[in-house]
Amino acid sequence: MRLRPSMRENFRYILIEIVPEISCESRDIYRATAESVTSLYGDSIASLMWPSVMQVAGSYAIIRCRRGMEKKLETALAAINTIQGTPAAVHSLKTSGTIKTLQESIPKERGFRQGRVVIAGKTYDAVISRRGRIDLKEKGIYLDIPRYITEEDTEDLYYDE
Amino acid sequence: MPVLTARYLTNIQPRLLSREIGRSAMEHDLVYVQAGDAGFNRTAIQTTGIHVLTDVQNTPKDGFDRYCAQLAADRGVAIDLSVRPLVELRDVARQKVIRKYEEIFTLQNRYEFPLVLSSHASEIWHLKSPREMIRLFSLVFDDEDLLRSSLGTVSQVKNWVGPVREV
Repeated sequence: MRLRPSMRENFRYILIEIVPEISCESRDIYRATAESVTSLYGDSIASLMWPSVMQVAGSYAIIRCRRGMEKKLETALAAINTIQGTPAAVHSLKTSGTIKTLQESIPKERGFRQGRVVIAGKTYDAVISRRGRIDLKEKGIYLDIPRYITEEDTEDLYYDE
Repeated sequence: MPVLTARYLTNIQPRLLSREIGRSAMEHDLVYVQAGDAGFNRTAIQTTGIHVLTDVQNTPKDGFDRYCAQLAADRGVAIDLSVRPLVELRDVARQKVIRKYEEIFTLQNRYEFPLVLSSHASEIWHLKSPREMIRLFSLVFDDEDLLRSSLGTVSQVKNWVGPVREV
């Protein structure tokens, strides 16, 4: 049945970021969201919310819900602690009435590359994101070596890729 | 943004509180003490040098009562509410935490002791933005202004000045 525009349902779209960057499909995000909404608000609110995953792009995704329920959905998204058994957090970044606005907010550069980092003469495996952040891998970490490196530290590092 | 260091005292005997707090105050900006039963909490709040009483959601029934709330308000000791049990627990366990937090917010509304909202993060996925913290605590309490101001209470607790007294 085709409805008149004034009778159609109004939606809100929420841009989310999944931390840490894990590979997951839209159905994984939907299951985590639905589980969180149901456990937090129960079936009655979950049935009124109509959450659905519209688009997934790397660690970003756009989730739709009925207008007026976006605050409840944001709360439920903040209460997610695992996605498909992997510990993860979902940060809601922006809420909008159109998908297009949110698509423009998704950062263009994504992904990371593997590399090696030399600190004080010792070599470690590292994950270097395109935004410039460097995370040392768990393997080879000692207590006296910083795990997260600031931009100033990167100037002193020697990359051996 | 200033970074404050803190010492977190857990499972400590009441008679050792003063000594441990004195030692911690020399090395750290803040002293957090894990809450226990009502007697322990009263002793802890009245001990000089304690800044924040934490893990109140794990106290037994009436572990944090209105007398503790009055003492906390008089002495400027903050009560720490963590967002982590709201995220990690499910079903009845989470309902109990929400009920406990609701009691604390009711007491806060009456006695106006400082509140500290924290993420208790030990991993990157435990971290929450202020917006998410407010959203999660709004499950318990509607006053967003109080929740927003509670996010910055830590620095006030550190520099707390008691009420002015006539001498």
